[in-house]
Amino acid sequence: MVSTGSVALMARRPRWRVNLLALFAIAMFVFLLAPSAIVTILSFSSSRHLEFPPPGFSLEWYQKIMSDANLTHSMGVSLRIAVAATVLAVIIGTLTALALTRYTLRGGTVLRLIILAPFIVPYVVQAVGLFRVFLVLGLRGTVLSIIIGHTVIAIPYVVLVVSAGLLAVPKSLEEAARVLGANGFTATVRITLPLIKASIAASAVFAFIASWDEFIMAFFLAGAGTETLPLRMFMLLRDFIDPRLTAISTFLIVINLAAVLFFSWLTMRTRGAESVVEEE
Amino acid sequence: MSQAATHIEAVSKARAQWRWRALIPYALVVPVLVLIAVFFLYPLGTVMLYSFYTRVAGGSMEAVLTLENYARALTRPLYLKIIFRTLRLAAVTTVIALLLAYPFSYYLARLKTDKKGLILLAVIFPFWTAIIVRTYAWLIILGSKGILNNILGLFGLGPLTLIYNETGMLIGLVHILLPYMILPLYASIAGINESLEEAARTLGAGRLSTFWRITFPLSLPGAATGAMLVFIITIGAYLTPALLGGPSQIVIPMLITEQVALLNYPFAAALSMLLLLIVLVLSGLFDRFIGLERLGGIY
Repeated sequence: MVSTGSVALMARRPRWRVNLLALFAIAMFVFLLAPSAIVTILSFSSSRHLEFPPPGFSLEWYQKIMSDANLTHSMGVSLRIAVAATVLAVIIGTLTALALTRYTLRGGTVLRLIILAPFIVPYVVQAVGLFRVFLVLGLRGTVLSIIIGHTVIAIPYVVLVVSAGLLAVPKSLEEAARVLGANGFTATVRITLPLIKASIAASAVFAFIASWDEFIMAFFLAGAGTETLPLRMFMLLRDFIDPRLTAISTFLIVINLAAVLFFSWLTMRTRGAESVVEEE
Repeated sequence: MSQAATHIEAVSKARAQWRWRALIPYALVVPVLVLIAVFFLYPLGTVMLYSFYTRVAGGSMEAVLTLENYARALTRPLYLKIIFRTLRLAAVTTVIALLLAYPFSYYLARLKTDKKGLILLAVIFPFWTAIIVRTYAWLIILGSKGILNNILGLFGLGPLTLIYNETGMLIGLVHILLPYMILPLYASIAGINESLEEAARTLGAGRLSTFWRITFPLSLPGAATGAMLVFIITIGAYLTPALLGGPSQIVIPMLITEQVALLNYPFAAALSMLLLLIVLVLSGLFDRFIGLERLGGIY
């Protein structure tokens, strides 16, 4: 038998608990988001020191980074590497995902494990190995060596994202095309690929950011003139806490924010597409 | 008769086609196999081989196999201290991240709102922000004349030394690795059927008892996935320890980098192998109890 008093108590207690949890969650959001917010605000500061809140606003730091040839050069290097690594990883990864999801493959389990391995093995260990291999090949210090290193680490992401997309599209659509006379290649290109184009785009965003933000491979593989943006920032930060980096950081934050919004939009679209397919 | 012949012909044609078709998946994986073999497995193989090589004066090495590099890493107090520090740092980061992420993920998973997508975006966004940017942000916040010390100064407190020591390194690492803990935990808790909890409550279990006996055990795979990710990423982390921890807080990846710069490649290779061994042992255990494929679920 439950008295009315304890019922009232039970009804009240959860509310108190939820509020405490909610307060904690708000504190966590502040902890997670404040660093980026502070850097962004400080990038518009008119002060020569990193004081918060800023005494006034200006675009001084942005002008300073745009007139630094080393920094603008590194932006170009990072962009070229990320675009090339993305294209390579998306092509190779999509072919792999097709093989793993659309066909029965002997050794598929082992293959899946090998493809996941670059995600698990610490990048610093991979970088130590590639450093020596590219040194012997005479490629250390080239943009190509960093592109290859970044392609390897982007592959697991592409395979995972595209495989998920492929598993969401029923095989029956492709089979229907084949029954109607299309060969395997046509069915894949005309039916399957258009259906998973959002997943492929999402995997490209992921691969791009994996390369764009990567540091340790570039640290081991880059040479004079091929320093990527994260590497250049690290080199500047080793000397002192350079306030100009607030402007570069804000630039990076904006790019990453655009990437995550685009990625979320694409994944929402794929989930939408699934339900359309199911309804049909 | 002719009908049978046509039939046989059709069957053999189908068989030839089937044989050809059976080769397609192998052709599709040729590029990835070449890439992984040449630029992942082969380099790792060379690191393993060179870890047994002998270093000769002047910075080169010769193919005289030795265990000296491993012995050096595992017996000299300085290197043992670095290995121990790295493992302790990863363990502490994992525990703090778990303690912070669990109630947070639980709250998010049970939150009933139509703005959930937006809220999750706020969690995923730091995950997508470059590590160099987040480390730099913490340098600004925690520095000796940083924002935190500014605020403390207003209350007549401080200044505290928060960078170039273990505290700064931990704060930065926890911040950077939290999303790796939150995302699998959130997925795991959100996946628990709430009617199980309701059933326990109906059968007379209290809130706490329901949590401990129903929710918590069911969320353990998510917690294990998050812990595994945070631990293996932390022991391989270079950037944040180097910038926020500084020279007094050397960890294995910093030692590896330093040894490569000092042209002692065999020793750097042996240290890399030790790091790899730790990661492989943990991955093996994780695969046995949870399943490695879960690691793929965090995008």
